[in-house]
Amino acid sequence: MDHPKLFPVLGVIGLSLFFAGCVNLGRVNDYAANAAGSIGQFEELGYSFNKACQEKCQMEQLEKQQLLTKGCDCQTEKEADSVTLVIYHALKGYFEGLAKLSGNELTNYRFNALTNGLTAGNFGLVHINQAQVNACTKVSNILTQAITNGYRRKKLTTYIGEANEAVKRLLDALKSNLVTNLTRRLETQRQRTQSYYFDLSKDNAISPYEKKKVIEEYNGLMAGIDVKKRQIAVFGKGIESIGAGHQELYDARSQLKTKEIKELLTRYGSEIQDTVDEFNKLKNEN
Amino acid sequence: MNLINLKTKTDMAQLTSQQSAVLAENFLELAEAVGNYRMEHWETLSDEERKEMKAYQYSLLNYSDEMSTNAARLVMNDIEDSLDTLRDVTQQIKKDYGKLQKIHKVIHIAAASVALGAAIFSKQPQAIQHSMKNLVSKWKEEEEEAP
Repeated sequence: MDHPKLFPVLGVIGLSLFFAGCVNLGRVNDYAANAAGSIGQFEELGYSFNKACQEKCQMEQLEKQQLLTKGCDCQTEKEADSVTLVIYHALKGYFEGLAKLSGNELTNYRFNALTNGLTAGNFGLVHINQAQVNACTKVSNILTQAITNGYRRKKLTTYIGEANEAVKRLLDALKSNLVTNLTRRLETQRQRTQSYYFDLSKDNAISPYEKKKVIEEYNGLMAGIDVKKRQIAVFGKGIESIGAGHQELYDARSQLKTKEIKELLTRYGSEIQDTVDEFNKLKNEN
Repeated sequence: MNLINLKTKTDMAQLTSQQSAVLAENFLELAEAVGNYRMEHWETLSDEERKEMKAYQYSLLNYSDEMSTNAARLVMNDIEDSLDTLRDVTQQIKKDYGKLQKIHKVIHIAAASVALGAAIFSKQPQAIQHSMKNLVSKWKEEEEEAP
């Protein structure tokens, strides 16, 4: 058998299968990985119901000019944080799973294994040239793609269908807890801070120099609250993009190969990435 | 001091998450109105009135806080089914990913077979022997790892 003739034939067949199979899974993978990354920013928010409770407690001590001997009672806030955390973990786990199932780790691993097998073994006098190594690697890639891509696409279609309603509701719940309820806690803290520092600024017992310091302190606190509010708002925008992307994926789940779904997922992937960038900018401001 | 006779925590538990959020927003708006009035009319208010209005504002803010926190806790009642569904799907995904990793091992064997093919093409007995040994060892690894 003349092997140099065989390799190009296998290569052409293989490459066709390879490109036909991997492109769309790649798009799903990009979307899911972006979604998992964007949801993961929850851990970088640096604000929670418990933190809001602690801050309120500190403000009360300042107002009363008394130290609290028993500490702050933030039990209900801790419960609210637990609920939010449960929702977060469920969503993150799902998107990470989706990213893994649609990912290309198998291909990379196999590629290295085969290349090492062909080049690093104890072959004695044998000479297998680089073209043959590459051809064998491609053949191996084709085998895996052919076996796993169809299976993965089928499974992903099923899972996206089963999860869509739950994903929507949980994303809404996460957004509601953070964007609506936690932001409102920031707003109450802003009002307390404003009242407290307003009174200080009107206090005749304070010197002009001290008043200047009070105003500086006030401006710093208000700026900090504003950045946190914007961070949460950006996080909320990310959640909306993730939800819209999942819905599109759900609507087109039976056509995972089409150009349209590729374009849609690219758009949502880009929107999610924009919110990640915006969030990171705000994080640096904080 | 309480402008509004707030229900007890037990009664509040009967509110839905959405109702709690609406109440939280209402308390917040009232608190803001009181706070703004107090600042805008600072010069015309007596010390006693200033203190009283501040206490009102803070009570309203506390009510708003309690309602916001409650809304976040109560959301659990609305999403328990969704959480279960997503957990189930995620478990299935993990299981399938595990299966894929096994397929991956099978492919590893296929890769060893391709290497054997290449050695056969090269017509080098040592390479064939080496590749054959490699294939057998991969096969054994797979058999040992199988449940």
